[in-house]
Amino acid sequence: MVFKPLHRTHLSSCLALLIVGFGIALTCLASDLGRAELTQREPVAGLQGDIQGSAPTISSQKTGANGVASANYAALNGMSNNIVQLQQQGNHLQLSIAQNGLRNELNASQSGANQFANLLQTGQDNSIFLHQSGFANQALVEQQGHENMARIEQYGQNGRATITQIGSGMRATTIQY
Amino acid sequence: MKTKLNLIAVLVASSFSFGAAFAGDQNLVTTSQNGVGNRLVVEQTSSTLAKAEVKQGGDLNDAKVLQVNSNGVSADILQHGTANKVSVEQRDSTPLTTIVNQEGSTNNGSIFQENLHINSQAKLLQYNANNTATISQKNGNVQTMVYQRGNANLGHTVQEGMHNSYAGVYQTGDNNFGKVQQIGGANSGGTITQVGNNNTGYVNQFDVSSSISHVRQNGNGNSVDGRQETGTTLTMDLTQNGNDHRVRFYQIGNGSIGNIQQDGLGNVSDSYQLGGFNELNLIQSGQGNQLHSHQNSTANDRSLQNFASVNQAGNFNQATVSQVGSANHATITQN
Repeated sequence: MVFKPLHRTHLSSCLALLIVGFGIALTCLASDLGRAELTQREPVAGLQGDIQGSAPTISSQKTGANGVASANYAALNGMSNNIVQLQQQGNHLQLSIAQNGLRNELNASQSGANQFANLLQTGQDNSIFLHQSGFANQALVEQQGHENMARIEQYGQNGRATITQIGSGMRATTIQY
Repeated sequence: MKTKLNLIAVLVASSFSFGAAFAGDQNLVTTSQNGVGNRLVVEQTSSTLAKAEVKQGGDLNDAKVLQVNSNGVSADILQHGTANKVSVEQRDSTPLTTIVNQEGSTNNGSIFQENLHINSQAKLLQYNANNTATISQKNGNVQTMVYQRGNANLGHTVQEGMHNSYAGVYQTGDNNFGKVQQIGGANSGGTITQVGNNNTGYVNQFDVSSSISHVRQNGNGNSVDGRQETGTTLTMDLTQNGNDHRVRFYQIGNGSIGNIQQDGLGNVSDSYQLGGFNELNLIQSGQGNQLHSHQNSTANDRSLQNFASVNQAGNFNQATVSQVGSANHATITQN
């Protein structure tokens, strides 16, 4: 596992790094504008990543490169002005991200089979971009507030894409091919 | 040995990439929006048995569904509120069902279908007033229906180059306008049914063959404008029940049939036929009805025949039939 801070990153505390059984749980709190990247490369089954940020955070998670790992789970909770970039490769991966506040950006990519992404944003001017490729992938996106944008792209068979938006000035785009 | 393994690896990789090129089977999109000024877009390409389900609640929302180059796709769209807009575009596909349902006023719904390969269905339903519904179809074989309940609605279907297809506009309420156009193609049918007052129906068959159009109006003060142009073996049935209705009927071409029936008081029918072997059958029952019919074959061939049969039952009815050409037949019966 590599946790690599980038420019203007002030990670006030990285509270815990837990390794339990086959899983890995990582909890970080960031307190200022900045950028951070979380990379998990171990192709281990049952991999878990858990990121919580109260200030801007950019994270990237790569689990099970080359689709080796399976049944991974990543969860992230963020506040305003967060930018999240996350990549998952493998099968039976689960992604759960909740963001609350203003101008959050979520860019997630899943490749493999039986992927599941559950993305929630509440607030204003938030955006979600989710790309899934593979077989039987499922995406659940929910946004509440105003002027939020969601875009799901699915490439493959038996895809399921659901976008629920409650509020005004929302934009939803779903592309399957 | 190593070479063989590499070859196998290449073949396996190629098979995966080949399969991926035809990916997109049995996909499902579900989108729900509640609020004001929301927009959504759904695109499904190169899919089999793909489905799009869209729900929007609120005002000033916009939904677009695009399904292209797909087999067995379907779309189900529901909007509640006012000033909403839906557009569905299906091209080069074999859609199964397309249903657009709009509940509220000042909504706009449109379905565009092109190059559809098998028999499919498209329905556009609107409930309330001042709504606009349009179904446009090119080159295919489909059954479509616009249903509107309320006042001051506009329902429009256009079929171009269609074969064995059917388009219908059904309107209940007052001051509605229904329009069916058939351009090119063959063996197709169009129907306008209006129940209420002061409704207007417009039917146009242009350069089609062996096709039929029906217009039925119940109420008062309704009007129909029916046109058959440059086609062969066309039939148009115009039926009005009630008072103060008006029919305008034009035929340009050969071998077409116009059937007009008006039941009630103060109805007026004007017909104009240009060409040969055209046939007008008119029945009026009631009082104070009027018929004006003109048949002219000279523009094509003076020897071409036209036929007019008029039957008026009741009092104070008037019938005027003029025929230009030779060997025409006119029969007027008043009783």
